[in-house]
Amino acid sequence: MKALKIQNVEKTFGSIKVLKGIDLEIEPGQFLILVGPSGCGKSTLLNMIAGLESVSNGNITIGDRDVTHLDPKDRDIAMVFQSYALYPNMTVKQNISFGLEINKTPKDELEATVAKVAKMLQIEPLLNRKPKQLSGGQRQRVAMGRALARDPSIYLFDEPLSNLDAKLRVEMRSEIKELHQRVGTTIVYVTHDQIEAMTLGDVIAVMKDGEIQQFGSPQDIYDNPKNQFVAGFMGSPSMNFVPCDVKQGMNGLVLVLESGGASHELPVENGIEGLSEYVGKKVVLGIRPEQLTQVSEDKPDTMTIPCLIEIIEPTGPDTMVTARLNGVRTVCRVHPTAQSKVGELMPLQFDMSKAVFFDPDTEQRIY
Amino acid sequence: MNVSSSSRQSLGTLLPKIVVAPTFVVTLVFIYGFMLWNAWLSFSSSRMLPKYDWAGFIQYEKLFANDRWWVAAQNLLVFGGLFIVICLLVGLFLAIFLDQKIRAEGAIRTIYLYPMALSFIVTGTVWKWILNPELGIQRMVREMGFESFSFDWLVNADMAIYTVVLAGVWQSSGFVMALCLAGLRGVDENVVKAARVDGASMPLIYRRIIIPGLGPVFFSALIVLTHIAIKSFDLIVALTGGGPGYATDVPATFMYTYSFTRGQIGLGSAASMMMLMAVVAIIVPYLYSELRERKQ
Repeated sequence: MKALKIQNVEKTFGSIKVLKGIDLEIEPGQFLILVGPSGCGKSTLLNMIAGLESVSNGNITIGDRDVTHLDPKDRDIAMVFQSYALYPNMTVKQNISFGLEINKTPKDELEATVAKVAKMLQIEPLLNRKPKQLSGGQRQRVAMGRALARDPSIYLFDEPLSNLDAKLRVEMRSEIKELHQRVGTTIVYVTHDQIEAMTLGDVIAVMKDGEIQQFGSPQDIYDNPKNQFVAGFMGSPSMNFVPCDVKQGMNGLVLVLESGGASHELPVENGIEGLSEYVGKKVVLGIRPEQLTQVSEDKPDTMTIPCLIEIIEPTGPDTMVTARLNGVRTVCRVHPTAQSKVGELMPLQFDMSKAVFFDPDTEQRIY
Repeated sequence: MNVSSSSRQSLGTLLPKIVVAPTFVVTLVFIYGFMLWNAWLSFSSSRMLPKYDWAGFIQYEKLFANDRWWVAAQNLLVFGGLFIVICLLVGLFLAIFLDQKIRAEGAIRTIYLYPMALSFIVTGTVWKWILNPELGIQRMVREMGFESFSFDWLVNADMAIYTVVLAGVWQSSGFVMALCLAGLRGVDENVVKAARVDGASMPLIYRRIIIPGLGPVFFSALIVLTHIAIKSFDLIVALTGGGPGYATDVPATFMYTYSFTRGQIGLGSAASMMMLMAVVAIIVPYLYSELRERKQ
């Protein structure tokens, strides 16, 4: 039995197709992230799982029940909204217990649940306050408490951290993760923040233009992006895309890289067979900043190329150095002590073992 | 250079004051000045013409001993109470129905709001015709064959005050609807979604979440309706003329009758002071709460 099964779900508004056939399945207890830029349909999909938007086509199954045409109240779900959506005229306690009250939960059981949830989220001192009197982080907790009290089979989170400031967002992120580990209930979580997606998810569905671009574990999506969009979307700073010519070198294929007026040949690690079809043509080299570093002795197999430095941005643990390669700006993560000066050539080490290649026209990965 | 720039600056700061000054003077004289004049007259022995003597509370004593005044006061309670409550209920329900994402909402909203654009004189006259047994509904139904049908509230001393309520509600409930609709539009739709996910039905969501959230809207509507009710004059003059007899007299028509047709200016002034006190009793707490909120 799957916790949630979405089969060929479509959504059309008039003549506009917002979701173009979504298929996905998750196991009970999994934390699914729907991530993508705004307008990709992720929130629409979540609202359809919740039953707040009608399904134009396809099926949604929660557990072993087909819920495609059920009311939200019959789906056994709870939802946390971006704007928290607390009932403004009710106290925190009433907010948490409202759903239980409607379901005619006995009074003592209701009290016990509220007390348990309040304890879990450390909002006991706030129970008699109105939402107006709470800070953003406290409202967020109450919104989560309201969902927790229902004890549903799936929790739905709609960008719950977007309205919080940066520090609080990181704190709440780990709290949500801890909560999931403790409660173990299936969660579907919508976000546009790829860091949230990476840190929270068991599985991630990267969406764009109403389609799932890639569905997999965070590490898999990070290491093996299917196309240039996914590669660029996941990871911060994002992956560098350098257009290069492919040439037949003496010991295999090489990429031609130009920086600071000098041309260099970069050998490609073997194993990417598809690349041989691109000899004499251009490909897009996708390489993450952490694979472009200062020269270090313990990685003898890597290739070093002197690159022209344009921008230096220290972040503390690392310094982000922007070099110009084949006319595009390329971010490299170097050790603070190794940074060069703007306008100078700095030897940079290319770790090609995790580099990926894309077709410049289709933006699809070359394997 | 210096002189011209400083004079230009002072003109700049003076101009708003110059523009506002006439309004200020007019308000001061014709509202607050006349209010004080009226207060003075209410303590004088004025009858046909104003007399500026000091007669103490004689006019008030006469007023409180006057049966017709108590009929007017009672009518105000009946009319005001029903008018306010029915307006609020009708306005709220119209707003809720209009808020269901219906077609042609703009047109319907305008239709319901339109009576507000009429003066009470027009409303009163129209309803006088509609309710007149010889002209309006009664005659229409009788001509349809129901010969024994009777609808004579307008000329029935016990029921006439309710026709005033009817016309008043027709005129003002659209206004309450507009206020409530604005309030409903301000409700975060995610709150409604959250309540639906929590398992609440729409009637329950309205009853428990949306309508309690409209408190400030009701409060504003209440203030506006209350002072309309207390000051109501033109509607009654046009619809019933205070009659039959003085069955639909309200304090405003009472004041007018005594001041200007019965030559009892002192008594009329005392009646209008009582109305002023009633308005003050409502407006002052309102202003106080409003201003205090703004300071916070």
